[in-house]
Amino acid sequence: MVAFTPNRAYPYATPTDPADVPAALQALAEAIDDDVCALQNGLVGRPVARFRGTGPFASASPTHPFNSPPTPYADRIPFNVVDFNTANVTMFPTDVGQRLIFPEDPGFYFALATVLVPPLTVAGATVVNLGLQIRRGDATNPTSLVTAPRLAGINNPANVSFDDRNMRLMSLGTGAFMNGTTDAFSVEWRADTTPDVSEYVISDRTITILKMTTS
Amino acid sequence: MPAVTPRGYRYPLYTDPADFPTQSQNFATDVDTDVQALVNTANSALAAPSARVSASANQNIPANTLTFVTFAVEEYDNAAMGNLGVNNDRLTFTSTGIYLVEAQVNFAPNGNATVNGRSGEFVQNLSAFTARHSEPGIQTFATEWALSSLIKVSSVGDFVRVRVLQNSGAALNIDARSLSATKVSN
Repeated sequence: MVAFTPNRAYPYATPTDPADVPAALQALAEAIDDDVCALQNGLVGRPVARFRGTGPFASASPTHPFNSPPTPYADRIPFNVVDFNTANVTMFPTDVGQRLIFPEDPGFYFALATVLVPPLTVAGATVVNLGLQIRRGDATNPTSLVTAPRLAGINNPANVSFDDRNMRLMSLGTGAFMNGTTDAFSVEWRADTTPDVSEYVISDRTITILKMTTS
Repeated sequence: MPAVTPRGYRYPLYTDPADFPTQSQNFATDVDTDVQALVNTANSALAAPSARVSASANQNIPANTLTFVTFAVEEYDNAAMGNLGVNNDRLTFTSTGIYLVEAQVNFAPNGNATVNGRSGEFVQNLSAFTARHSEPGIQTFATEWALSSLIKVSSVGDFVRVRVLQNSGAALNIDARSLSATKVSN
């Protein structure tokens, strides 16, 4: 009776088998062949995805507070372009109350968000703060009024000026476990000025997601 | 006596006694061991050692004093890098390699007469810092910064911490904060 190896279950002949060297070798060779082919097919690059938002997006005015906004989903930045996606990540629609980036496979992810921020050009107005946050939203309840946990953020009063050559790239990275069922990334942008201006508009923005673990 | 291929697969020579069952078992077992090792290596490469620790309760940061940030929750840890019961201010690496580390710290709004700056840095092991960030504070809003860097871990047991400094003239709290690390290369 044929026996099998412990890990990969390759068949090999035993002393009680009928002597049939060609058949035994063929069975062993084909089993190894199938296994190595499957292994080769499974060797893929690290899953990665990048989504881009184009067109203007304006911060609410006056800005919403970070930790207790009236509608937590209103400050999410919309993304509308898939640059690449090998990580089984779903980009939600751009409607207010959606705008989530949902990794459908569980694992530890590194996420990098960027936003292009122009200077404030309203005469007499000054920046009080510019804020960019990555949060862990709920893909099954995107319009939840419970403030989503903050994964990382930047918030400071540094005005965009000539020192930035009139355009600042704010970038923000974080590592976090996402469960593949409810956890979704959201990127939020806020600006506050004195006096309040009608809106502070940003242009291109991205979020890049790198899957670091298999579960 | 059987010969062995460069990957360690045994095969009989003409001078060996004919014993097909034993010889086929040896060959099958050698390939089995080798392929399983490759599978394990591939799986390990896609399951990088990663961890994230965080905290949200206030931590008091005295003015003009370099202070290590402390953490209370191990959100994720697949490589036993966090041991907050022993050291609540660090991730300790359990394998060597290149790691992408990230931290964020949120300073409470400044009620002090002086605003000034908020800075932070990664401190690897006991001294040298690998990345630093500094920015102005705010009187009425929280001040938050995030820091990312690649660091080389040469020895198992190396660790990384986050150290902050604020010079508002009086003590200031930090609340939401996190530190994560994930291996990106051997």
